[in-house]
Amino acid sequence: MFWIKKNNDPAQSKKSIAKFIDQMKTNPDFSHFHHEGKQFSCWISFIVTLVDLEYVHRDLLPALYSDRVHSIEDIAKVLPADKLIRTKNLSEIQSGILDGSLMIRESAHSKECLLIPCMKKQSRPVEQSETETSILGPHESFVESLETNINLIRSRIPIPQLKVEELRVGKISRTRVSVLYVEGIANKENINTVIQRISDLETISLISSNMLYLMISDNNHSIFPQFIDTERPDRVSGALYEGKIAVIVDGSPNALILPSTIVEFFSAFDDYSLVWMLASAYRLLRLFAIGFSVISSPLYVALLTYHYQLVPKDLLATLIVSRSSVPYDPIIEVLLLEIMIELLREAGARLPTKVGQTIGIVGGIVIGTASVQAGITSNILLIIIAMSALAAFITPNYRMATTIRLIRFPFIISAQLLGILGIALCFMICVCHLLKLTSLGHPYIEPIYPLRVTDLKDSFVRLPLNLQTQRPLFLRTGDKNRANPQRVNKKEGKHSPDIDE
Amino acid sequence: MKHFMHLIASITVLIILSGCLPTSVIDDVLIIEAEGVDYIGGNKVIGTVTMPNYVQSSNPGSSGAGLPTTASMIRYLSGTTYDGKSLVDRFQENGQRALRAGKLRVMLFNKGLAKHGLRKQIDLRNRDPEAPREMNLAIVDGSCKKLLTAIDYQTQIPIARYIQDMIEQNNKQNYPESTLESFLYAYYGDYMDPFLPVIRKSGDHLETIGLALFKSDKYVMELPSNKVFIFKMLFQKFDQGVYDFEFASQKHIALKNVHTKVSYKVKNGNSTSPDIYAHVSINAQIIQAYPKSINKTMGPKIEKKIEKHMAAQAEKLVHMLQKKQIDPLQLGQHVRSHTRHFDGKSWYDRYPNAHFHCTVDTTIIQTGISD
Amino acid sequence: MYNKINPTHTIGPLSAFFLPQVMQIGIGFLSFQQIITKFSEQDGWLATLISGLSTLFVMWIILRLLENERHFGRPDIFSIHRRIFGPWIGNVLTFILMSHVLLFSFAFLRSYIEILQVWIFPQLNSFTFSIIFCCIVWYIVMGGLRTISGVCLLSFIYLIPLFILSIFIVPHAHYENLMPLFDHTPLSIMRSCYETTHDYLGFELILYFYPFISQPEKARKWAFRGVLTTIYIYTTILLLGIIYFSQGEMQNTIWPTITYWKSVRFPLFEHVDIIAIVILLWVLIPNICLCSWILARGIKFTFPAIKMKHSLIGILVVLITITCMVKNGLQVRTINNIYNGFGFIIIYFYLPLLLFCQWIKKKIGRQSA
Repeated sequence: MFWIKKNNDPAQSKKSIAKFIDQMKTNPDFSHFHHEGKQFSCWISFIVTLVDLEYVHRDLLPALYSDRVHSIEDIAKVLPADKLIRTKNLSEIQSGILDGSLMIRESAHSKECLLIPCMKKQSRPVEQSETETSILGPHESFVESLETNINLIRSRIPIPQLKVEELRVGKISRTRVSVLYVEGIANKENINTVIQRISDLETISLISSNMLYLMISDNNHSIFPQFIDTERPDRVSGALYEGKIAVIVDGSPNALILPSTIVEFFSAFDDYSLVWMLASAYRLLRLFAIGFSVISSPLYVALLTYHYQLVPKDLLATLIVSRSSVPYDPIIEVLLLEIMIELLREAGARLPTKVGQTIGIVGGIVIGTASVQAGITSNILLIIIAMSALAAFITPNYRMATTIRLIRFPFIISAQLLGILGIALCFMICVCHLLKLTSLGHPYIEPIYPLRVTDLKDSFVRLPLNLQTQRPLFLRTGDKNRANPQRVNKKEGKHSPDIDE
Repeated sequence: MKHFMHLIASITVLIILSGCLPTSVIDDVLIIEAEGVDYIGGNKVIGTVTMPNYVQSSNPGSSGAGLPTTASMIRYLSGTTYDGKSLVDRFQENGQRALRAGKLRVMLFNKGLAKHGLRKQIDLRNRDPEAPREMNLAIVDGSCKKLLTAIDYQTQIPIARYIQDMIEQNNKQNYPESTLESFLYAYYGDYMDPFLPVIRKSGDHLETIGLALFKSDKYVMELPSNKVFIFKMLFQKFDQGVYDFEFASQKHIALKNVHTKVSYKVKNGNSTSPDIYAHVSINAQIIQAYPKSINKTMGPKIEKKIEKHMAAQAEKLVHMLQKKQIDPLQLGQHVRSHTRHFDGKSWYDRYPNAHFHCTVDTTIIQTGISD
Repeated sequence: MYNKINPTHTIGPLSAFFLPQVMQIGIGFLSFQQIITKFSEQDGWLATLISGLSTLFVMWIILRLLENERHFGRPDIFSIHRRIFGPWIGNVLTFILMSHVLLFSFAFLRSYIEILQVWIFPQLNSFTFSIIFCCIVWYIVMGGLRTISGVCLLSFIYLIPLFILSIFIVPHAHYENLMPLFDHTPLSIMRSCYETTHDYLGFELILYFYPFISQPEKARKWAFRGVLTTIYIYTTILLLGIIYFSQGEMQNTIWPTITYWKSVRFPLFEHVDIIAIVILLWVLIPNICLCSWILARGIKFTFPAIKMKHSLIGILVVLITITCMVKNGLQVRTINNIYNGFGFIIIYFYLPLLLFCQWIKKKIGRQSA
């Protein structure tokens, strides 16, 4: 892990402004020139590619060149800009310039300078969410700009209690990381843990929130994701209202939600826009899909290799006929198809969207049928594998979907070794691992263990909203109740007329 | 990190060590579907096992695959051995692949073996964890080998399926339930005796011809097909049988029963001649009747007739069983459950003297859509 | 030495419900119908009921014992022994009790391997299986009592389908098998009760982990509910066994429960017994985990220098070794009989005696003061 090593930070070695400017001058996009006016003359320096040139030429320079400016103090009065900084601190100057500020000095040797922020941010407009699509809910998604992202969240939580704490991570990159929470709801310990974990990071650069996720997770050897990352501002604000904490990194279009439990990875935000019966049914369907996806092909291997007794009599004939021209053992057959599907998925993800779609269809249909006709796999297996691949993608969270796709391989191998017993042992290891796993120090499989019945209301099923008056217990929020349960339920029971009344 | 690597390494080694379990890949074993045992005297039997061979009917797409690579080449094996020998082990040396008995559907015994006693065969099946308990047993009138290996049936579908389907659908109708499970229950239980259906090959099909009654493991007598309804009526509750009643010579009425229920009461269970009272109630529907023999006014009269007739038949049946000293109706069990401190030792002496009283209560609930 | 237990390592009061309960449900319930009905036939359910209610009383004694001890220090059996009998005799007694725990886990593991070998894989090597199994146990116990109690909870959840599975035999029931009621002498029923002890054992392990339960006032109620649940489960299973098998058949069947699972048939799969046996792995794992945790803890209590981490490996090695030494089913049955007798003495004689000793000690202490 090279970035943890304490190497010489190049930023610290330069001692003076002059040296810093000399260093910067070598870059063609660094502009450094002397302005000679009637009343006032100064040195102006900035990085052309970082500042908003239009703003500089239209507003800043005319103001500077005007006759009203006599000294550097006057600039503040004249300029139509806020947040002017006067400083001698080299590191502040340095980061100011590199963030897109304009530096003004009275002479080439003066140590004090004025920093005028005029940064230009290249950012794409807010677009539709792509990895977590929704049909009924809002379609906005985060973009790469931190300001826009916070704007999206703030507009959904218009209260002064929403706190945004900004941290800088990375020795060199100094990436801005914002920690968002609602004061009074979010648990203080959790906030401290998050801030401590982020500020304790020893790293040179932080490019995206995924890197941050990998560095602050509780157990970074686990294949299970421990925090939800989402690109949907509505989901983040929902979580903030629940008392969770969101972390946004400048330059990446998604937010981390901490802490998370395993059931949240299987709930889509769309669930909250459906009637509770439908939402619960679809959650159960998802749960079934995950079970099916993980267990189906190992079960195929186990049944066909060891436990032919379990197969119903009438299915037996179908299975034997479909396998009669396959020369391999079930395990080889399954691995062959599983790896083929994995390849298709990976190829589809790497290729441009349109080519990717074609690859999916061509690969799925052509290779699938061809391998059955060629007699290297049985067609029943093809159905099973295709269904389980489909089921794996039902998971709303991409990270979890990847985990689920990968986790079946140890299951397949143990099914080959010990049959159903092997699957059971593998499942047991998996579950015990989940039991030991924590997310921000909170148990990962929370509503199940420790058993909290109130939290079960929004886990495998989603009960009606009037029953969900409490925030999740495991968060130990400052305010336990979302709404007063009596008042929520009173409205319904107020007037219950008799038939035809 | 190091810990992890050590753990993973050691588990891998162990798993590889354990990976030497013998497999039975579904198409690399011969799955036995039916076993038949014929007694030839002197404690010797001819055993027959059949296994289905699933040869793929030409798959339109798989022209390139050629012949199925793993289809089995044999359909049955047969040979002599001693009574009670596991047929799987006996024929393993003749088999193309490993034989497995885990999906056994039927087990057939010929009458000779049944008379000789099924003790060893039953013990074999009861000891085997693989054998399914819902497997059907049957007695064959004739030779099991012939029945299982004949090629003059109407289709070439594996015969085991035919036998099992036939027994199963009979069990739902007139015949009392007989699987390995119920046979073992009665065979090992005290104060009761088992029974099995009797089947026979007749031309190009099979037929069920009656119920074989046992004294413990030995065949005693055969109950003909037309008395089986009475037997089942006294044995268990059911709802699908058909009873043909000849109320005058050449004049028949057929009852399809919608529901029968039987309840027992016992008095003086420990005396030398216990009184057993059976009460049967039948809700029936008439599906076939001699023309003009039934209409709305005659209903109760016919009901009375049927009741009287059935009660007499039932008493006759039990009397016959008592004479033969067998108890397939599990009357002893009923007496035991109704008697405190039941004297089990002398029961077999007292059983033939027991008085059996039967009352039948028939309700005709429907006579069809025409009058 | 008796440092306080960190609240992050405690377990909720609900664990007093499922920990003892899961410990009680063991391999025993697969075969207990045969043993119980040997003496009392159709009245066997009476024996499970009586025996179960008596364990309720023993549970009361245990909780009383522990609560009394709370005034003097940490409420577990180690401290009770040490305080009442002094360090030497106390430690010896602790070790005798712990040998029962070892016997418990060992008898359990070996019986399960026997079932696996009989029903699924006759060629399964008991050495390799127990090593793989003990690796999982090691992994769980390293997570502490919290993880173990999590495993217990999951075990409870996973067992529910197995008990529901038993309902499928109701269509094959012969209700007249249950009659006549109360037709046996009290003596034969008492003999059945003695045999039932084996299946109810396990709840007394609360003696070892009680201090880890937070809010003990609430926990007590849950502990009794746990025992009641076990009584309910055992009585139902026994009743189902009696109405499904005839007496003669029952005496011929070694594992009646598995046999009746064998006759359950679903459209999707047959031979449910194999799946059920595999699910039973979840009965086994919490038992072995908790037992090895208790043993490691006991060793640490007597020899504070030995860390639990290290003694745990030793315990598992011992477990594997003795498991591999047992060769056949007969020996397994002998071990189970020893375990039964030993456990009977502990819960019905030793624990009341201990309560008495505690009382005497208190009297003496008061007099001297």
